[in-house]
Amino acid sequence: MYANNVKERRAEIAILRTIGLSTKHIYFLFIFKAFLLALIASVLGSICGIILGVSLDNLGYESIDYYLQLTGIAVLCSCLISILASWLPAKIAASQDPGVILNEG
Amino acid sequence: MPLLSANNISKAYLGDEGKIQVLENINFSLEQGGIHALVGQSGCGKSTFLLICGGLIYPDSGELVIDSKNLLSMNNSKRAQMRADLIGYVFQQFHLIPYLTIEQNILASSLVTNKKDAKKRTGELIEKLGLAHRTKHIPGKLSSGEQQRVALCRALLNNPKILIADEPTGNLDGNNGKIVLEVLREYANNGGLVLMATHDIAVASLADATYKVCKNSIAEFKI
Repeated sequence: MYANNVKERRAEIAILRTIGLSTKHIYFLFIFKAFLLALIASVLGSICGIILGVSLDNLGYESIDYYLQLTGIAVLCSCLISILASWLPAKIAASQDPGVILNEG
Repeated sequence: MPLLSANNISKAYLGDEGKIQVLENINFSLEQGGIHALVGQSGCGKSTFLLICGGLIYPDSGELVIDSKNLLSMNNSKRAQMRADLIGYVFQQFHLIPYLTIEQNILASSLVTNKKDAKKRTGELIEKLGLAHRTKHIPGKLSSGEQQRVALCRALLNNPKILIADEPTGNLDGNNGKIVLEVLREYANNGGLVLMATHDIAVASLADATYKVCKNSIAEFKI
């Protein structure tokens, strides 16, 4: 998803570099966005999962065990994978001359 | 000492039919101030030369000195900082960020320079270029002329020493083209250096100097 996002936003990266943002700024913007999205999605997903599990338990279905520690590890892994998945495409897009990308139309 | 000096610049592109030499050993320099227009037939290398002057593409060989600093020998971060501090760039296709409002598009230029009066200056530029009623709109809701005026505001926000404009009136009607040229003239009268490419001789005739671009020379000529 992030790789696709960065690919689609090559022109935007080129514009940002034209107005003076360095490749470090570009990495920060894209990696921070990926981290934030992954954090929000994994925390919301975990909360929804726990609520669903407790609700099913209360309705008399087979009880589902959940562990806060495992949830924390899942959130952390999700953030790390997202950061890695966004870093490489951002690096590729940011390493091209902005003029070349903007000239592609 | 020239503000902009391009020495022995060469650039080739690899096309389907092999290597196309666009510029070869170009030498060109400009002092501060004035409007300087590059003219020449399509594909003669005007846009490529402007992109090189703006530090947006690397030439295959040569040296580009802006404000006594060799832009091409700098690392990426320093080159980006120099672009932010010294150079404003206006494209024919505007190149605004589609999901940001007009105000945000202009303010994006201050992300690196962190000037305290950026917001105030943005307001002043918006007012001056007749965009006050469009401040919170996104580029897609604007006409071509309005988008080019936004691009001009963005380029002028940091008070650059050099404004590079590639066919700045190429997509505009007569009235909007006139507005853009008036802003360029005012900027040049205040000491800014405008380097623009145009295929329109009427536009070029408004410049202080015109130059014909060929593969291996950029030479001044009178219209």
